[in-house]
Amino acid sequence: MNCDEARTYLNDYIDGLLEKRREKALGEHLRACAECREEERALRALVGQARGLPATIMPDRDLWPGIKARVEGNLVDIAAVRQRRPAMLHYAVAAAAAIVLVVGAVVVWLLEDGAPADYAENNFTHTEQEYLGAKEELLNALKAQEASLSPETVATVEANLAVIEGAVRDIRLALADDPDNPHLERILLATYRNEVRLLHQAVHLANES
Amino acid sequence: MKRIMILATALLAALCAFADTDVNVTKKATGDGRVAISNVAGSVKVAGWDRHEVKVEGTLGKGVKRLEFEVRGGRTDIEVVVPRRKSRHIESHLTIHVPLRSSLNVKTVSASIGISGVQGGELELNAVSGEIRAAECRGEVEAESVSGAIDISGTPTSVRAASVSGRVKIQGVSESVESETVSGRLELVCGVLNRCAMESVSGAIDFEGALRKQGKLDATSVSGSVNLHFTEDVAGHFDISSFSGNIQCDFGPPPSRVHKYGPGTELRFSKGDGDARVSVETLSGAVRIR
Repeated sequence: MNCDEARTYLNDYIDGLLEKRREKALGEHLRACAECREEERALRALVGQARGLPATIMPDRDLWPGIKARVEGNLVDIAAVRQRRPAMLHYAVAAAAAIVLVVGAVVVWLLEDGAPADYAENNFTHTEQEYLGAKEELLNALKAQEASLSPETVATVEANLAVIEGAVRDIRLALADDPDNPHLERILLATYRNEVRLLHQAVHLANES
Repeated sequence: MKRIMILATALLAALCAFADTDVNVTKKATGDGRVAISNVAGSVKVAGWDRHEVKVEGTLGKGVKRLEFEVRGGRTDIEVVVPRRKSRHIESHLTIHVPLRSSLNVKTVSASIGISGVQGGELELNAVSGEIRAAECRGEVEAESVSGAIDISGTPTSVRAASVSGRVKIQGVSESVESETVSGRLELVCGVLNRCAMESVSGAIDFEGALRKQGKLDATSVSGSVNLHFTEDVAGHFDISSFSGNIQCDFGPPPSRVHKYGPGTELRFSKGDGDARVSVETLSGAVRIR
């Protein structure tokens, strides 16, 4: 494994998410490479600080309208990022990397292990807030790193985010007609999961580019 | 005459400068090792063969820095190294032969991936816009793409395939399938499965296959239709619901309305004495089960 590969997998390594073979290869590389060991040490320190933050904060009011407005604002801003100066972008990328690291654990939980059906049914609002929070952070990260992606990939991601936004709108309208319908709640959570997965994939691609 | 010679030489030099570089390298490798391949643009074709060697042949684009090809113990790394941010003249077309029991990890951006006859433990295939085709698979296959189509066939034990907008086609799986898309179409033709999970936002889901006695099938879609064709009797519990889509099932009782005046249809019933579970949920996508 070379240094570029090692740094690509470092986040997952620290989160214990790497498959065994890759974990072993990265471990060997870290033992041999002082520079990557230093990178690992810094990331572990940052993750340690992030773990000190509360895992969740329950909202005391409906946050959806505010979040929606901000998220939609972010979507509109994506095109503007292309116009920014490289120096500005550099800082934005650094900030975004930190954001991804902080939301990483939540995103992984939501995509891999989290939100099992019984949890989701009992805590729909809470789970929805988790998805919306992860989505917002990932959108910010993507906004900052979008310039690394090809225009075709950006177009595909944006087109499919629009498909998902449309679907979310339709499901929310259906939920307004039939509140507390567990099937609709599950479809909505599955759609959020699709959205978070797409954003996570896009940020990962941007990181690798 | 001299002027013509100079012009011809200059033309030849210019043509050479734009020419791709041929590669043809073979190295010894273990019979069941892991081969990692990375190529940004162009194509990657991998075929299994009955030799303990890895052979790389093809052409490297003029803008490519170099080809890295290293074998260390059970691991082989093949990487087309391109200058950062460069996207012109980097198309490289590689045909790679690997020991047929190898595991593979192939990553591309726009390059297409074609795998045939590699029967090792795991195939991990990842493209952004390139198409992924894996034939004669065995073992476990994981394929992920953003806009490229995915086509997996053979007799894999398990498949996990996700494409954002590309079509996903999976054939011949014998144990479990997980498949996801946003706007692409999912087409599955499987054997008798233990587990099948399919998720889509607007793309249609087409499944043909059967479930084991305690098998589980989940299909979730927002607006895409869900079409399940069971090739063998399924004994177990069915739980089908759609908010505004039509539900049509060739067996069991007719679907019932959830509310007397509002939208929403449900179909719940048990069939036979098995413990299989079939669950389908859509918002507006039609559901057809036969």
